[in-house]
Amino acid sequence: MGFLYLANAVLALGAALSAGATTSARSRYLQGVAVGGIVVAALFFFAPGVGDTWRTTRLSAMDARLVGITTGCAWLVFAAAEARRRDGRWDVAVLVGVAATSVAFIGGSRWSVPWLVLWVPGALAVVLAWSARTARLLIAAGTASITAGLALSASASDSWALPVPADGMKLALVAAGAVAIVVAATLGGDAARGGAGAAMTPIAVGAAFIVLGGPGRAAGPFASLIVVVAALVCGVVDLLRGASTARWIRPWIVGVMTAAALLAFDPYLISRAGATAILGATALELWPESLGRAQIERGALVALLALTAGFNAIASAALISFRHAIDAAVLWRAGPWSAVTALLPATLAMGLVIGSRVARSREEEAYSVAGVIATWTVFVVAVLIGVFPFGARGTSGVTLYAVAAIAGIAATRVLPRPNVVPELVGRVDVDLRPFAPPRAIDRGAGVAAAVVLAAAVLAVLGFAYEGLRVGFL
Amino acid sequence: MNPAAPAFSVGTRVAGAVLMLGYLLGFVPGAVMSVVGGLGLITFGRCITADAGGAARAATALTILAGALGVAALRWGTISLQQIVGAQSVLGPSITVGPNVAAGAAWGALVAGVAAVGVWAAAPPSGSPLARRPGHILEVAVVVLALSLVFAAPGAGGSLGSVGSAPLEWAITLSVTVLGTAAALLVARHAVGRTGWVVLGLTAVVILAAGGVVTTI
Repeated sequence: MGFLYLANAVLALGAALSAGATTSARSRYLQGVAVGGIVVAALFFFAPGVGDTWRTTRLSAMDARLVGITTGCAWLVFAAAEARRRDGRWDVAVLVGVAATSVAFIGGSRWSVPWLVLWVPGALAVVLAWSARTARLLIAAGTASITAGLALSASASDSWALPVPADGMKLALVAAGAVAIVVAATLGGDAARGGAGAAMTPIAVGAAFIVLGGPGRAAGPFASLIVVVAALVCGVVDLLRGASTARWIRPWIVGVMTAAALLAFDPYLISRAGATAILGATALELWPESLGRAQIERGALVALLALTAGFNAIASAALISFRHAIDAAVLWRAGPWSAVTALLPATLAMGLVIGSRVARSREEEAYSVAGVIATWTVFVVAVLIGVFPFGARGTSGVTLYAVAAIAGIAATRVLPRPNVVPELVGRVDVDLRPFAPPRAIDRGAGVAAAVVLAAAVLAVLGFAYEGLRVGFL
Repeated sequence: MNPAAPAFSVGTRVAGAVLMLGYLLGFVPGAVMSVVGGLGLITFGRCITADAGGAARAATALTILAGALGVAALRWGTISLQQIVGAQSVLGPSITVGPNVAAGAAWGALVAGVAAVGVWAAAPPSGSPLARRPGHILEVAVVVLALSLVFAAPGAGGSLGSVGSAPLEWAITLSVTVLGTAAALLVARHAVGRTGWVVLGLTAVVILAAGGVVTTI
């Protein structure tokens, strides 16, 4: 199991060793490194070491799936971008490797200090790779908030054991930190052709969901309500604009899944919500690389359709909120649960409209084969997770899902197709303007974020010293 | 428009109908949201080839239909389709079981649900008259069947599968479904544009009221 945790670090080192090679050779080599990263991610996903203890780590099935999907998507985005640009960005590959290593360790770590020490390099890697000022600051602020929450928990409990979950104000700090990182991910992804930071979006989203499944779990219905309302606002803005754009779709889908994860702790819910958020954000990051192709796959992911992981997350959240609403003894306790239950169908409906616009859009053809294949891969993974159990509550639905999928595919061959409403012909439902070259790196924001992260490191070292001094170990 | 979209529209609608029928006919144990998932697939297929207004109305109608199914779940305190039908097999259909206010709420949710189906069906994927689209009519019937089973399923031994084993009760379920489908198609002929939004507004109010009533009993 130790090999798996360090594999991405080895890949990062391997990428760094290619710095002196020619551009074309380095590009091919880095694409091979990315493929290696995807293989490591698959190993995490199928998790041969679930439950094994190695040093301060013990990997749960839920964390293993999240780590696998997160790191796999990050390497996938890097590989697609590198296959198109062929500029041999070894520095980005190193950052992806470092961040992926951090994600692997925070997924398995069971002690606070190693958790924080191993996350900070990953946060720094994300900050260095992104160009959006607010996103970089939010990553740093989110990390600081999580550090404060875990440090306070350690002080209160006289223990370094990772609080799962934290409680009271500590939980609020940790959960708020995770939400800040998610917001950063919706802002910071370089949805731009040639943007080097796009691979970090799945890293940030995945790390946030690992927190929400661990020390930040079960923040409750009030937190969930706030986030889902914010996500719905983003969805409404996208619909009112008349043409969909990744700028508003990304916060919509990631926000809805974050709201689901905040609701309560349930490994099935967290893993499906996390998978949907990561895969959805990845598909949107791959949009510039697959322009003119894979519209239906993108639309289906955004629409949270049945047969995909997204609907499983929504259905699971609805089940949990319904049960709490029924079981609540007093109205003020039932109210927020009922509100969440009522809003979930609305999120589903909004997803259908947004997703159908993305699916039917006609786009200029400016795709790369690697980008299209990567998008298809993301879609297939979402369907596989949606259809097959992987720790779910039973297998009786698998056959029905398979029959429905086969019937649907057969119908496309046999049944007549509907006529298209004339006004849809020639209509453009996608706003392509955000696909512009990335902005220049904002050094001021980078310095500020680095200062905040340095302060977090000092705080970690400080309470590590304090813990050693009073004998936490 | 993406040239693959019309074909994908057909595929998702068929897949959604198969999914719904699988749960409604008891082949696979399911919950209310399982049916909503299948309905969502069908709606997605419709939205792909509908205009903006039609897609928005179809999606809003989906929300209201989910709410109607949720009223039945609240009435019986369970989201399991088998348990909802089973409760009705012991006590009678939701629309007849007292107290009177709860039965009235169930009636309201059923009628509002059928009206919402009408608005949902008013944006067919093609411009052809509804009568010449048997697939479209079948879709409407499947959705009305879901409402029939949670509100008006006759007592039949407590499981969805056994509804079919008693011919009289099967006939009652079919009759309710046929009547409901005819009513929905009638609504669909008129509920376009602004009229559709008015109908949706009214059905939303009824569903919210019904949900409030069954929550407090």
